[in-house]
Amino acid sequence: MGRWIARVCRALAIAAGVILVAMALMSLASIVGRTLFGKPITGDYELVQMMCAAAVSLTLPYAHWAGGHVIVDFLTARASPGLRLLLDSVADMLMAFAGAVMCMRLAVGMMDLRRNMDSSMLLGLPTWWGYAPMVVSFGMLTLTAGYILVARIMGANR
Amino acid sequence: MSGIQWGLVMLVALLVALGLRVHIGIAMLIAGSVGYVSVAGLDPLLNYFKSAAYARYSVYDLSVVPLFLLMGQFATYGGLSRALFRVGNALVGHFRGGMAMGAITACAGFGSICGSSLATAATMGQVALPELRAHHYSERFAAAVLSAGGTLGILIPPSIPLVVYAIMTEQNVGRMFLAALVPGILAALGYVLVISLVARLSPRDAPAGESVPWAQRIRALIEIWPVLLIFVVVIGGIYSGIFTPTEAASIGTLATGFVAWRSGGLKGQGLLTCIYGAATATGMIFLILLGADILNVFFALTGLNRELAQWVVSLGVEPLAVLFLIIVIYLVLGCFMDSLSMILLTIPVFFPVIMSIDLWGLEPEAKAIWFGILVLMVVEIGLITPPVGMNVFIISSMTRSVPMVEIFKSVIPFLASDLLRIGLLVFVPSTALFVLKVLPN
Repeated sequence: MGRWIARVCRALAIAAGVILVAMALMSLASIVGRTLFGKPITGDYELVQMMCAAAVSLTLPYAHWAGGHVIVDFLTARASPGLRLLLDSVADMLMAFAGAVMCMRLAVGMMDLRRNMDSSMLLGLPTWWGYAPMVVSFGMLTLTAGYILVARIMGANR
Repeated sequence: MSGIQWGLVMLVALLVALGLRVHIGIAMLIAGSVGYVSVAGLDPLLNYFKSAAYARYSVYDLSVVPLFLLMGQFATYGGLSRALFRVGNALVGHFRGGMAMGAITACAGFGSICGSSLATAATMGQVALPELRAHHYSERFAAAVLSAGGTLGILIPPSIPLVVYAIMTEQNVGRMFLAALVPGILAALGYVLVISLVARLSPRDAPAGESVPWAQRIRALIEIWPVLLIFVVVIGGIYSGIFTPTEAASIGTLATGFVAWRSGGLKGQGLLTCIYGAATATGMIFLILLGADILNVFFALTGLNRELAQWVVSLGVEPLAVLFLIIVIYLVLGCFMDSLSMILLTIPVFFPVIMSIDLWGLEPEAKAIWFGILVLMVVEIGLITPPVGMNVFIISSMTRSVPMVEIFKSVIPFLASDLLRIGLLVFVPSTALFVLKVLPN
């Protein structure tokens, strides 16, 4: 189970990297088009917004898996291991809960936009496309946090 | 309870949650949500959540943050740090304590293409610590030099906390970067001065170096032309308005990636390591951004920040006293909070206060930029002060058995130079602002 979670988190992080590089290449193409041919890529602004939202949200599960989301551990650094375990488990639960709520609300938002056929101004891209990777990201963040929570408690019992 | 009271209650709840190991972004998100529900009800919140995350993550200007993070990773794996250290040494290595000055120069150079302090400290530490050790620098002094040098990563633009500040306060990112330039260079000069003093007072810590022939200096300089080119294109491009910040960061990322690829740094696991590193930092920052967004929507709903600003003005306290109080709060918070979280948490409260008091008769835009640079310098100090000085932690993990306390002691002279520089910036705002006057938009 843990191996699969790790794999998916890594895959999403790599997807984020690929999207980011694609976004950079597109900006470059737009600059070249603008200076040499007098016309930038149509809707480059919209594409950057959509790609940026996808890329940054896709990093969330990996960052949690890698222990990258920061906490203030100064006040509890000398607390007993048992108390720290309890507090960290509560923090995992809150992370999973927040992730799940975000995931579900974004999914509702996505369905709304899809039903209304909402589309971007210049390119006419369906707006819900931008939401889809975010629903996946927050869903995976929830799973990752849930797994870390279970593993933490089981590890403590062993 | 009134909105203001709810605001205060949730602020306290937030601080308690932070102390109890809840992830910073999640603590902000939950405190903001609970407060929002108490004041406006559940349905508006659920409705707001349908689009909140997308609205936050699809901000055009914010796309420079993941780009700069990836660029910093490429710079780390591109072998540029070694070349920069060689240049630093070739230029100033012959002074007393020269090699340490070379390390500071290299940190400044690295900071000009990297917007993160931890990355700068980690990268330059790996390159410079072994060399300093081999040249008979004391381990604790070498560690202190690199911990302080690492802060140049955010003090010298590009700087990720500065991007976030600019977006939160609706300032121009390019003008903020330009204003940070001179204070950043002053920071590097201050550190060099500290090294020269230490080398004189305690030669055991920092011995003299050897002179380098001019031909070799020039050869070393030629080697780092990509760094110079990237810096000029990115910062110059943003400021002159030729590129948007996103476009400039895109070019910088691709160019740095190209340099890293040419040097062989992306072979094997290299590229993946870069992506994972950038992903971890991006995820961390954007979770906090989302939480801060929701918290700030709640604060705006209660009118807490507006009321607080009015209250401060109505007290009629000396404006400078207010500014000093804010600086002290940052210094205290910086002892145990990460710099970006601190900015995200406090700017919505402090910024309206600063904008509503009169400081040196500055225009609103100038005041906003000046305060941003000031905040950057103050939160940066948190990286090298106990109990939680992240730069010192990173460097100390690379040293051989030097107690952390010893490193913190050796950092004190550098801290003194930081405080002097902050004083200078407080009393002479043109330190940061005159560049903007010389180069009008």
